[in-house]
Amino acid sequence: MASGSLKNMLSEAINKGVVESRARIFGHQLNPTGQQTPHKLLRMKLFGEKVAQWYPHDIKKDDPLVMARQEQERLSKLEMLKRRGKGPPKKGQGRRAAKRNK
Amino acid sequence: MRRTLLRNATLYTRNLLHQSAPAFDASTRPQLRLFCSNETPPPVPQIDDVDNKELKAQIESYFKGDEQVLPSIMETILKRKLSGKHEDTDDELMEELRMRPLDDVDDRDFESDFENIHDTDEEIDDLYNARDVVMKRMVKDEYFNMDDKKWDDIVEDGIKHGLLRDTKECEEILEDMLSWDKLLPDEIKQKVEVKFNELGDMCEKGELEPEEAYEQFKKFEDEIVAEYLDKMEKEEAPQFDDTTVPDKKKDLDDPPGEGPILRWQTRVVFAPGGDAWHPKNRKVKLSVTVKELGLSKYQFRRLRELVGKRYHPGRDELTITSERFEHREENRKDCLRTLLHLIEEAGKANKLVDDARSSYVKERLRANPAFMERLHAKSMRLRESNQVPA
Repeated sequence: MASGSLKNMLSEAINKGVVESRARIFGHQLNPTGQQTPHKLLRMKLFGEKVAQWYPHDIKKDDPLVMARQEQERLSKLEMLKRRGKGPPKKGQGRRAAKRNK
Repeated sequence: MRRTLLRNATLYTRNLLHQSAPAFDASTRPQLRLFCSNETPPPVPQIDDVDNKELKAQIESYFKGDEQVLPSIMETILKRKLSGKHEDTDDELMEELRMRPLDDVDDRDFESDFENIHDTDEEIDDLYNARDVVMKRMVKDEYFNMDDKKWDDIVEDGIKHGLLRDTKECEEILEDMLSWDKLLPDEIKQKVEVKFNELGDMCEKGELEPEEAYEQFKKFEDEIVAEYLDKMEKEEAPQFDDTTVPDKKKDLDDPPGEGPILRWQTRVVFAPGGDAWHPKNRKVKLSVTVKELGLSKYQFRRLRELVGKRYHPGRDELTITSERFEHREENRKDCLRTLLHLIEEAGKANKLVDDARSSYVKERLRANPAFMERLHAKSMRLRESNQVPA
């Protein structure tokens, strides 16, 4: 350090601690080593409500009688399919499982 | 105009008849007494009468353009009125004259009065050359086509040469001109009012005629004006010896407070509905001139390192933007806090520079052997002097 000139020393003194100060003032996240950090996710604003607003509210879900009737219809239809041999397959006998065994 | 003259003539003759009636009665009574005592009275002298044909001929000649006949017409009308034999015929004639319009009216008589009263502008012969005409008038008359710029120049010139020493006073004068009826002092107003009331009362009682009252009031007004002028002359006249006197206006338009000027930029979106919140309203931008912050050289360099691209060297302008919070006012506070932190952090540069300079000097001294020997000897000497009394 003694070998340097006065001007260089002063310049280094002026710029001492600038990076940390800038990060503190403007709210930056320092990552000198370039590691992967979850800061980008944490920085984002909560947008779950906005995504949920995409689908409008269905008023049928508020009425238990309507939901029960729909469930009854679903079950009866499933029973009819099973009787005709068109029901859902058992575990391990579907297309996906067969593909995996290959 | 001739028609109005005729009407006025008839009106005047009526008034004369009304006024002269009692005199006629008074003049005839003593004659009757004299005659009764001496001899039988002779018949009243009969006034020569003018027949309809002659009057009609005179009127026709007047309408045809002969203005010299007017006095003879008036005499004729007076004679007929005095004789009293043609009242019905004259009434019909007046109705006829009133309904008849005049074809050839000499406009010169009206225009002469109009021109005397209203001084209209000169007529421009060549309208294709209107620009040159206007330029000539502007050159000839300084106050032709006055606009705000000219007025500002005149005011500035007056301020520069000391004529308008205090623009506040000028504004007061203009306000006085705007409300001129409040200019006179209350004493003069009361005097004039009292005099007016006195004259009005005298007129109502009948002691004075309106003409005489008006004359007296006019004299009184002249006296009041002369008195006021004397008062003004007694006061000292203002002196214009000084040149280029600065403006002494007291209350300025500059806002109060000290420090740099903060320029804020925000956006206000007017959306339908009562809720005023809008995502575009969030962002706030703060600009400040760095020169006004009063930073030293090293502080300025540190500030530039801190803010990076936020500083615009050409305009010497530092811009801070914030849209961190949901509401604009919160973001304004955030901008201000950021600015204060930046100024504080830049202010540390002076201390850092001083420390660096002092450490540099110490290193240079430590590397000097002669200085070190002298320092060592001095410290040894101090140590020996301390040990002797112990």
